[in-house]
Parts: sequence; structure tokens; C-alpha cells
Amino acid sequence: MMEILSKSALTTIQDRGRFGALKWGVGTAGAMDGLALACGNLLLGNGEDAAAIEIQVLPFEARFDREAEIALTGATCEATIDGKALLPWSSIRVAPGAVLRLGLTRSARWRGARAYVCVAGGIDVPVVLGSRSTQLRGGIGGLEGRALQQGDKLPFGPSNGARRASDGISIVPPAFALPLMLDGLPAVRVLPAAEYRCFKPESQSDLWQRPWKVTPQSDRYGYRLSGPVLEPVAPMELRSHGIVPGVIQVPHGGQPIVQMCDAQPSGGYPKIGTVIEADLWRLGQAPIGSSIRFIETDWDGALHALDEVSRWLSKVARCLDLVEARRVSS
Amino acid sequence: MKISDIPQVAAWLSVAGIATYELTGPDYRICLRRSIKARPRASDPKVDPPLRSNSMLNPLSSASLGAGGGVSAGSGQDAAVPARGQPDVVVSPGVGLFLHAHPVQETALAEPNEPVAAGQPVGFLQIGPILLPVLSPRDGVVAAIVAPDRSLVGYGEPLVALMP
Repeated sequence: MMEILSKSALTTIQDRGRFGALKWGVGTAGAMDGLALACGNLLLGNGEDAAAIEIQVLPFEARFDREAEIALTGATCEATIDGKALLPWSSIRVAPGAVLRLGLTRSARWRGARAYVCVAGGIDVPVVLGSRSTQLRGGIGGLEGRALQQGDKLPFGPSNGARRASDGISIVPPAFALPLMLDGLPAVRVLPAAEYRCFKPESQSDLWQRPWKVTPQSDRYGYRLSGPVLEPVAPMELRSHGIVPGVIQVPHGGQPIVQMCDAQPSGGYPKIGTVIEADLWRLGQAPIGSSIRFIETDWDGALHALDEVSRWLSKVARCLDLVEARRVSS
Repeated sequence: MKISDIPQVAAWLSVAGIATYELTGPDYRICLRRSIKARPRASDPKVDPPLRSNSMLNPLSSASLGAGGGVSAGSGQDAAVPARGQPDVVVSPGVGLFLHAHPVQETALAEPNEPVAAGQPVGFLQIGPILLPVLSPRDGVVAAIVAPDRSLVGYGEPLVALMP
């Protein structure tokens, strides 16, 4: 069990997401950086559906009441266990009573926006509609359907004892292993969506050619971006229709909104594009105030990108097993 | 690499005490693993090390080939074991890229003239997508970082020198 010691605004329990419930109007939720979560679970030998803690605001502090194996991935932070530095993207066994502290770092080559604390066995909260993810809008999943608070005590699931990595073994983070940059800015690949052709040609080209800034009105629900005004050829009025995380809507003001993990399941704004599923984690780690670029892709490109991600994850799993086999054998 | 070369490679692995061997080529991948329980002792020359060679020559699509396979050497928490007779040198636990800092961090893990504690990471060895911490064998003070950042190093190669 771990107890949250800090006033941890916007910290939630997330797994990879709640799929198959959109038909009832229940969004997917899930980790904003699904790759960081997957890496943490790999380090610990957890199943890929194990839930972890997503931290958006530092500092974060928690105490473990018994021995535990934990992994830290995602945003770069100043991490310590009882004052001793914890290596980024690695796992460690902590003693009963140990206190984990995550603070802001001054030295980061890659910053990111969300850190993940994973535990062997996963955070054990009830499964709701197939997932432990917190869905703030509906108040379901996670711990009582809400963000974590100071004093919350979180139970762990049974560890399967199949931990893959020893203390300190780390992973080259996906931002470095699967880089995607354009003109020095992080980029995400986008499929033109249903109303793409209803925008003026110069707006279509602005979408691909100009940087887009992540404004402070950006959260798990969606990212409001600022950049050139995107103008439709003629005003559009649409009926509400189903939308998914990644959809880029353009409201009347012409400043796009990218729907994120806590997106509502329907909306009526025109859609100029959709960030592909394989690149949503890149957006999930784009800090407020940073700028990003969009790269046009197609259906095959989107599927290829998804394959690339799963190939990379299986390579990480295979290499962790190799390294561990060697340690055990010696 | 020919299939007929595998027995020779296997023999070399036994002699060197290497537990797992992986080689990825343009159109093949070989993985040799020695049974862990039947690990030979160097002090017992009578024991012929049984080698379970799960050799797989898998045609792989070129897309799935990454930055090469890892070759892992047998001796254990080797990061913390200095080369014999050279207790003042931290040596590489395997073949890979030596990194002075974690990719996400700007600051090097160790700097000359700074103190280090036994078991403290002084760098990373990158093997494919994995980063192995290179640990200081003892308390001391760093004399020099011997291997350049991101240099390719071999097993047992000196990485960091400690003051005597």
C-alpha cells in the first residue's frame, strides 16, 4: 500500500484505457503517455493492463508501508527514495516506510509533461467497464472516480514475481528511441479528417507548415492550440457526432482543439484532422507553452507507425529478459 | 555466419563463460543460450559444459531490425567488479555504448574529482534499447572519465578511473 503525502493536484490512477464503452458514451480515459506506462509495467514484469499513477504537477510525495517494487517513467523529474537519487526510466525495490519524492528538475534534455509511478502488481482499484482508469468527467474508475488527494491510501495487486529488470536498469525513452521532429520541434502525424477539404487551401497548408503552441487551456480533456486562424471556405454547422482522442476540431475562432484521453465521446465542431493513435503519447508529453508540428500521413502510414511502436516495445521486453537472464545465470 | 559455425561459437561461449549470445544479421538472427543450472566452474575442468543451443535462423523483415543484438557476458554484478589487479578502474560490463549521462538528463553521472559511493552509477552502458547502470566498485573519488561519451566499448574495457 502507498499513501499520498503531497497535495497532488490532477494526479490520477490510469491504465492503458477503457475501450469498447464509447457506444454508451463513456470515453477511453487512460494514460496520456501510454508508452511510458507500458515501459514501467515492462520493467516490473506487470501485465500490460496494470494501472499506475499519472502525475502532472510536481512535487509529488508518497510513502510505502511495506516493501515494494516500483518503476518511474515519463516526464523527467528530480526523483529520490529516502533522499537517494532514483535513475530515470528505471525500477527499484523500496523498503517499508520509504518515501518517494518527485520534484522539478533543472537539468533535462527532455522534459515531458507527465510522470508515471508504477508498482509491481499494479494499483488495485475496482475495474469499471473493463478498466481501472480514472474518468473524471463521469466520476468513474480510479479511486472513487476522482483525482488523488493527500492521505489517500492505494492498495497494490498481487505481484506476479516476474520482475524483468534489476534495480537501476533503464530504458532509452521513446522520445529518443522513436524520435519524430520537424524543424527542431516535436511532431505528430495527422490524418486529414472529414471536413479537411472544407477549409481554405491556405488554412490547409498552415496546418502542416506552421508551429502550433500548446496553450495553458490544455489538459487530459483536450489541448487548445494557438497558431494561424484556420478558416473554413464557408461557415459549417454540423450535428453532433462521435469523436475519439486525437481528433482535431476547429471551433468558430479558428484555433484548433486536439481531443485527448478524457475527450467527450461526441462533438459538433468541424474536424480538420486526427492525430494518429501511435503518436498520441508524443502529444501527451508536450508541455504547456511548447510548440509542436503536424505531419500529414495516410492510413497505411498510421498503421505502420502503430507497428513500429509495438515492435519497439517487444524489443525492450526481449532485451530486458536477456539482461536479466544474464544476471540470474551469473 | 554459417550454420556449421555454430558449434565453434558455442565452444567459445563456454570457454568465455558467456550465458547468452545473440547475433542479428541482415536476414537472420541467432540466439544461443546456455542452461543456467549447468553452468560450469572454471575450477572444475572435468565438467564439459552442456550447451543448449536454441539456434534460430529466422528470416526477419528488414524493418524489424534495430540497432543490433546484445551480447551479454557471464560475470554477474560485473559493473561493480573491477578488473583484477586494477581496483581503481571501473570496467565495462559488456559490449555497448558508454553514456556519461542518462539520455533525458544533461548532467553527467560522474565528474572528475567528485566523490562516488560503492554501488553508485557512474555512467550507463546502452545495449539496444536498454541502459545498464555502470556502478562504482567502491567508495572513492573519480580521477577521470576514461571512455568518451557515446563511445562503443567492449567487455572489460576501462570506463572510469578512481583515485587510488
